[in-house]
Amino acid sequence: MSFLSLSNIIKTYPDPEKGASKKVLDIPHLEVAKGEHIAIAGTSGGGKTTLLHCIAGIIRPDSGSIVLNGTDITQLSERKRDRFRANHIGYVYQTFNLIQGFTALENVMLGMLFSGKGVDRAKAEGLLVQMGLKDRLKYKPSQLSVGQQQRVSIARAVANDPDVILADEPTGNLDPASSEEALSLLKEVAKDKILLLVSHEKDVLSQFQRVVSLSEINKA
Amino acid sequence: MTTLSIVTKNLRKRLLATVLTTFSIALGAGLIIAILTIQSETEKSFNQTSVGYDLILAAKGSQLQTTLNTLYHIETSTGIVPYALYEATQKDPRVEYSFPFYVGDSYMQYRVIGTSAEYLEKASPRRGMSYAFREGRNFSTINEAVLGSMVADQTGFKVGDTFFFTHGVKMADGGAEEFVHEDHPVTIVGILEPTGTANDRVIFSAVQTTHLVHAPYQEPAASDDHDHSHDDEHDHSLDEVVVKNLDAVLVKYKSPASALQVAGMINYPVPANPVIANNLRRDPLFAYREGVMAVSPAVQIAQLMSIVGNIDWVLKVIAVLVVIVALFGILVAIYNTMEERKRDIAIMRSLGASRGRILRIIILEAAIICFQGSLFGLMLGWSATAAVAPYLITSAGIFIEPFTFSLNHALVLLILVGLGIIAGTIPALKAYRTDVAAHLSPTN
Repeated sequence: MSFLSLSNIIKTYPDPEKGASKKVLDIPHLEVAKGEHIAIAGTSGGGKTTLLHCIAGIIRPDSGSIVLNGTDITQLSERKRDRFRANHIGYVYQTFNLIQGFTALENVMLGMLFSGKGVDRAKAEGLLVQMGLKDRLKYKPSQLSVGQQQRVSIARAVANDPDVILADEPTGNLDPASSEEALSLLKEVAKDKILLLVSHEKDVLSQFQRVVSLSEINKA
Repeated sequence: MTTLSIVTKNLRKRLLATVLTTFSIALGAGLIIAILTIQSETEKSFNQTSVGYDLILAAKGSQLQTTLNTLYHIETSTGIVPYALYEATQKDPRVEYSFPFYVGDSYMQYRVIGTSAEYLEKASPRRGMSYAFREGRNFSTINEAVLGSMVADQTGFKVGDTFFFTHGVKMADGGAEEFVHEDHPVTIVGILEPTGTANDRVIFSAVQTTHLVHAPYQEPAASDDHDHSHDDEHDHSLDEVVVKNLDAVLVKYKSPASALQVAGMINYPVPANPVIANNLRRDPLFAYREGVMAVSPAVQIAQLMSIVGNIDWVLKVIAVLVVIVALFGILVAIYNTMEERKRDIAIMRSLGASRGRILRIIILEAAIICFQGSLFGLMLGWSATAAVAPYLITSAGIFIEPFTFSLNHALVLLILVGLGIIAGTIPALKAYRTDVAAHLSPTN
């Protein structure tokens, strides 16, 4: 039985040039087992980010269902989707998306704040130590290298023990060495979790046993 | 990590804007607090200053001026009344007590009040309070004086010290000179406890003393073969000094009806009705009504408060306008940051923060700015009041306690915080509506 199941997902956006709606997603189905790591390959503008946003509950598809561990995310109210996302989904971004005014430690704790389970400072510190950032806890993102920023982002994504980690081009802004390191850390912390990683880099895609081409599953 | 820590970090991140906005709130709040404090303390000062006498008998002129001159020791008198008027009130069976009142000299900026010794024994500076002595005793004879507490504190005088009355004011252009009565040293025999009224900054002496420095002596009795002259250094008793005129007579009647009767007899024309007119002519004070007016100090104070109240209303409106401008400042300051904060807001939303939490964060920022501004404004207001207090006592005879905190002060601060919350709601709504997906990428 699938842990994550997408069925008949349709998502459209207004097309300002044509004055009509443009279909971005049209996915009949996508099944992911628990603990499975999948790479989603696709070109820019193909709807990869939109797909991840739908799974994360950041946006709601126009129709269809997204069921994660028995919960249909599309049927939740926005507030419940927010709480569900905080507790069950971790997100790693290409541009890291760290809060500039907060330290590395505070960025990780911020991820815990909205789960409703309280902030565990020791756990946050432990995650950053695991990421090799023991001496960078009080550094702000502007004081970290891009590789270090991405590791903070990864630590934040797993801070609430999510079931699913979504990674949108996580190595897109990293040099090859940092990419390798970030990918390795990501796969390590995502053990026993679903990892959905979007990329167009062959080196990244080659490290996944299951690679799904977006153009194959998306009929839009 | 809490919502509050997110708020404080956000405020520190934009420290200059936060400080400037807080300061603008503080200015408005300080203005309101200062006005509120001065208004309430002034009202209290006016209300608490005792009007322990029913009438002030003074030369015809401004009734308010007479009241300010006798109760608050500012303004000049409206003219002179005969000493015999005071003597008549002393014999009037309707009178409970009366005091002579004479102002002419000073020491430094402190007025010398010539009166009777009974004044410090029977009069009340504040409701329910009697004059009490911090040191020494009441004056009892010529050339003795009692200092108000502020006079003693400012001059450093002690009981037993001597000084000289000064007449007139030295003009900077040399147009006038002050005259020091060096031939009549006055000994300090007592210093009063603070009363919290204008009486703390005057010097009390026998009316005969204040006249001695200016007027000739009374003709000696037949058995007295002393040579009385200005060169005579012989000590004189109060009875030996001629007092011809006073600035006012302060009168307390045994019944309010008597006060009304006397005021009517003095202030209004003699009625045509011969019976009433004859009755009036039998009044002990009828002979002195020409050129005299009877002033009810309580009525004058009420009228003065009415005038002050109107001015106070205008000042309050100005203060409120200043606060409104400051609140707009909060709204604009926070609103303008919303554009640059959209990504941070989107990031927090993507981490699971609800729209409601984002709303609370922004509103809390506005509330904290207002709260800090209000507290700072309270201190500013107190400081402004403390700075103005010495001027009010010297120019208007009004004592104010600058560092008061009343229910009204608390209400003002609460209202300011409440208005700050309302001002913060508008930018908070903008944050509430942030499109998360559109602003997660730095290019959006």
